[in-house]
Amino acid sequence: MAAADSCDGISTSGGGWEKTVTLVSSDDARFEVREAAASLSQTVRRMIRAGGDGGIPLPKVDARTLSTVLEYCNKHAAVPAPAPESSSAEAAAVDLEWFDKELMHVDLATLCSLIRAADYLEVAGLLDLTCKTVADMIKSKTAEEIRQMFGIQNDFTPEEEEQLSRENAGVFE
Amino acid sequence: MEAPGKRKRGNDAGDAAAGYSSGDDRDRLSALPDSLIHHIMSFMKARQVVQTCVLSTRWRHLWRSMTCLDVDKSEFETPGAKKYLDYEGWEKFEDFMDTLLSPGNVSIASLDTLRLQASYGIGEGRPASRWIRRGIKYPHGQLPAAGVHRGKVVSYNSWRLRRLHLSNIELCDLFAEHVRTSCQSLEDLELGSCSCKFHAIASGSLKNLALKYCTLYGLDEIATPTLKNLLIESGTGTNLKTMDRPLVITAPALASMFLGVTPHNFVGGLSLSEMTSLAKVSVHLSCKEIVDPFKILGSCVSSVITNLEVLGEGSTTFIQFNNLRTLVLSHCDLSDDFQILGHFLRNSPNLERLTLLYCKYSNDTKKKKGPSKSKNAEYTPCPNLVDVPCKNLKLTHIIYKEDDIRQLIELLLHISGNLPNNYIKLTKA
Repeated sequence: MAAADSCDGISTSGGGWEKTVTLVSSDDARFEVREAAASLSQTVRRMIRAGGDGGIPLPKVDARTLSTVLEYCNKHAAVPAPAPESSSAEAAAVDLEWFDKELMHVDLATLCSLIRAADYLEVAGLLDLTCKTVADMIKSKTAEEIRQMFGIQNDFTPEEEEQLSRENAGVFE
Repeated sequence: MEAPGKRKRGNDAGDAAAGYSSGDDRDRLSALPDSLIHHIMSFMKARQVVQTCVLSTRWRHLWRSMTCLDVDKSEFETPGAKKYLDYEGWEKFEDFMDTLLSPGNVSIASLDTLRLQASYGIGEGRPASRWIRRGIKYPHGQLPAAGVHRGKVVSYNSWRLRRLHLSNIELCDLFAEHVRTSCQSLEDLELGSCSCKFHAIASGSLKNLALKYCTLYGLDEIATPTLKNLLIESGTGTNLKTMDRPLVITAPALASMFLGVTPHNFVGGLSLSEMTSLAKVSVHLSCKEIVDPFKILGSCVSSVITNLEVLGEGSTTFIQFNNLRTLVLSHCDLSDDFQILGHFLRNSPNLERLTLLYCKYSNDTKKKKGPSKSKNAEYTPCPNLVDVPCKNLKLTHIIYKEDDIRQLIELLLHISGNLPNNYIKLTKA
């Protein structure tokens, strides 16, 4: 993911005749990406269609987060659509699943940034992946364990706590 | 659904956190906007979602505005208790659902996605059906006692649901009627192991319909102009009165269809009207517990075929699947001199891929051993296959175990002049 020196929003890379676009992160890092990969982001896809030069600005995503998002897009856009039922399709699916799992080995702060970025960029697959990862972390844990894991402050007043347990009356415990 | 005042706080917290590089870099999770926390919650079961209300004030009311609800009875099972005797678990489940759906909490009418999985055993889905019924009659939580809205079934009771998955629930005509008239956004309907006591499923918006292992009490019509994918897996039809009526499917936009045929479903056969976009049909015969499965299965498929023929203007013309490109025949009995196969091939002029998965080809399974049974040494293929017009057939994939596929191969070779581009791929499993 080398920073591109081209200033064109859309350029044609020399070798593969594959269209690329340049994305610019909030901290002004430039990423040259294959258009097919970048188009996994509906937001970018719309901006490509709208045209413009100097690269596509993404003021809500920093370079570190954007590079992870693009790692995801590159991998997922690279997959050709093989014939269903074939063994290669199965292998590709297993490979993707493994890739996704590895990609989610990040700290909580990064994970939350990725959720925001995936939402802003409208990369549906990544949004689902990141949100599901958080959901899996919350699952089958007690309230106290969840608070500790995510650093959530229990800010209920004793009265509120009491009211809460009365409201729930054991039903939601 | 309304819990005004209460929910405000949640939204404010989300908005305030929008500038997310603020000083406090702990608890980034709570700092996410409501919509994203809801998206996270959509991957959790309802009980877990609701339990987050005790985490902090930020989380207290978030669950109330969930648009995706996934309730699973198995979340309430008493550890170690037998499923069928777990009254305690069922009570917890009931109390939870009654509270969850009570006024001011969650209303089915405002959901986008609802998955409700009851379980068999206690009550056989009847108690669970009341939540659906109430959601239909009193969409905004009015209790029957209020009486004001009684009998006033107008458009205000419509559901916004896009996806609805129900398991182990009894459903009656009220439900089917509600789907037809008041679920204008419903795209995805999946019923699993439900008792379906309605006669027709009709919808102007459904794209995917799946009926899995349902007991169909006289369902004889599926009519939806928008339907793309249809799956009917096993299940039974138990209404003796309508046993001999075919299931009439009117779905002109259908692109893919999966039929899991057993001796107990499609007893009245199947009747399909013109489907010009149908690109993939999969017929799966599953039947392990039957003494002479092949015979019964053969008749099942025949009855399906027969009814298709009847629909073709009463003549011998079989309905044309002009757009059928991929056909998978799985576990089919093709030992009827390939009549069935012939029907499919002759009426699918644009077929590109044919997969025969573990089909039965020879008439005698019991004496399969030894190729001595080749009494027709001079094999003459049945005439109905000679004029098969599948010019575009590129691949015939035969996946088999021990079956004698010799006849099939000979047949394919014999008609190869009609299949100029056909590759035959054999896979022995």
